Amino acid sequence: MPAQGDQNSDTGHVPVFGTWRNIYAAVLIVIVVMIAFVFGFSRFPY
Amino acid sequence: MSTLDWTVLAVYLVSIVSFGYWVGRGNRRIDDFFLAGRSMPWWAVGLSVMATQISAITLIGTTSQAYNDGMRFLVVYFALPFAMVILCVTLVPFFYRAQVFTAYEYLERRFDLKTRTLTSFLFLMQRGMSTGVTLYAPSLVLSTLFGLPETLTVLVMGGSTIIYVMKGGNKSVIWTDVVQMAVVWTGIFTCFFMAIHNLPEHVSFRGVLAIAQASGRLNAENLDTSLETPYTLWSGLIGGLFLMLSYFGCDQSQVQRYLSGSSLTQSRLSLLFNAFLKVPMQFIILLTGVLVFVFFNFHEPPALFNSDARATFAALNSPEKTQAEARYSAAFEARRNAALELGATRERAAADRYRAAQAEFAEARTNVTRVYKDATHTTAYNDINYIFLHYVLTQVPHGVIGLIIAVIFAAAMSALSGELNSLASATMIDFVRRFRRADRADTYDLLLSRLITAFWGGFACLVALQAGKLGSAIEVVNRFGSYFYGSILGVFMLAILTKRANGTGATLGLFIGMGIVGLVASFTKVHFLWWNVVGTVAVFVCGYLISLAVPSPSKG
Repeated sequence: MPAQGDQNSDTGHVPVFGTWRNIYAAVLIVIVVMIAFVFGFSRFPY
Repeated sequence: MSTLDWTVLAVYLVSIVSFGYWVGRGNRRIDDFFLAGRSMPWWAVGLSVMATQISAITLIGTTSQAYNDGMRFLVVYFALPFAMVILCVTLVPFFYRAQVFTAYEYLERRFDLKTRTLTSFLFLMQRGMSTGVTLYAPSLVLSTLFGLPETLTVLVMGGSTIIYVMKGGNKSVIWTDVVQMAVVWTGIFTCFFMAIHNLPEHVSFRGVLAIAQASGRLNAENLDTSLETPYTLWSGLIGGLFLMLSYFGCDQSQVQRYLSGSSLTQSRLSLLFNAFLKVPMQFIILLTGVLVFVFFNFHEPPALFNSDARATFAALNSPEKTQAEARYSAAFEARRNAALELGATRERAAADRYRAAQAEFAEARTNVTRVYKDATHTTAYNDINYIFLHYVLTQVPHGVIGLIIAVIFAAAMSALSGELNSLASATMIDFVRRFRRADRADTYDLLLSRLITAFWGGFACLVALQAGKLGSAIEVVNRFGSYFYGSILGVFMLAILTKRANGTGATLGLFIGMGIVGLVASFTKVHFLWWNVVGTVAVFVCGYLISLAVPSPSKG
């Protein structure tokens, strides 16, 4: 098993987000929010 | 273009070539040349990944497409963040831990030599021809609009890129990409703010968006479930996912970028950097095109954006031409008045009147195009790539014009540099080093890698210079590339997701998959984004079944 903090493992420290799971979740949340924003932007009654 | 514009362009070109040459010194082995010594930080690799994807024609074509067709093209990028997360979990660790130079090298370890050689060969064919298009398309537009000779633009763009890629390999590619992305972003934001600045003062930004919406230019949401409807949410999310997985996971021009990261963490972060930024960036580019459309609601745009076609049309002398021009000008005036009313009131009745005026204007423009085509016996006329640069040339101050042209050069050169380096690595690693019988000194391999880079650069310039004559051949190659993308992803999925798949199954599956995509493309109206899904599924299913029926010789 790779050691904790190893830059070539899945358990190494990820800057800002801490863990890989956190950064993947952040990416997915941002794109869902972005899609919702684009849909709102397209349909907003200007 | 004024002297100031030429100066801006010349400063950019001299600076980028000098910087690329300087930063690329110190290569000792081909690890340095092709993977930058696996030493790059995530942010530099991330910008390089982005730069390789954005070609000049993507930049001027996307803004012009938004002018013509609205923002629906944005859905293609919705799947990119999902693809990046999937790749970070699956393919990137495989590639990184296998310490491969090329994506196809991994396929030999998993399957056999023939699978590696076939996929690498298909990559070389498709990417080799497309580098020519990378150069040709912006050269054609720049030569038409600015009177620059096509040969000159091809040789300046191609020649200057070859110089620094030959010298520094991937290190020069990545660091020049960082600078070129800074230039591109500066240009994009300048255009965006210029587009806002140039709008009439008496129309509020909300009024501008009301006009854009009534004209259908904010049409990014389409929930239609038909496979034939272009750019629906579903084709963007599903078809786009397969396209992005294939492009970022199986195309050497991208894989080579992130394999240059100093660790797996750096490689993954470079992709996730793109996952965060790509959609907002495309949104800004498309919105700029929409703002240019609204601007031309208040200032009469030419009916023909291609300046050569416009000059030919102006020289015509026929009653049809006079009538078409009169109808076009009248339709523009009616639309301008309707736009002013809608911008000021934002009422539904005003929006209805605007839509009717816009429909008549579009019809009048089509009529001018028809008269031009009839008079000149032209069968196909498409000026989409000229719209945005016409706006730049006529509405943007001198100096900024030079910056925008530098942006076009930067986008073309950054895409080309990554492509040349990846073509050289696939040729050197998958063919020269794989098939020769004796090891050679590092200095020999380095020299040969540089010569191969020069060969592919020369090939790209040759294709670009002959592209006018090769028109249909290039179309065939691009079409072939569309058949290839989903299918190659199917091969990698067989490699990673199954244990029983073998090289024979993967190779035959690849041919069958490409054939099936060819049939779907030729005999149905299914939108091209879905072809990637068809190709992947066909290769995966056929490859797996063939593997079960025909055991691998090595394991048999």
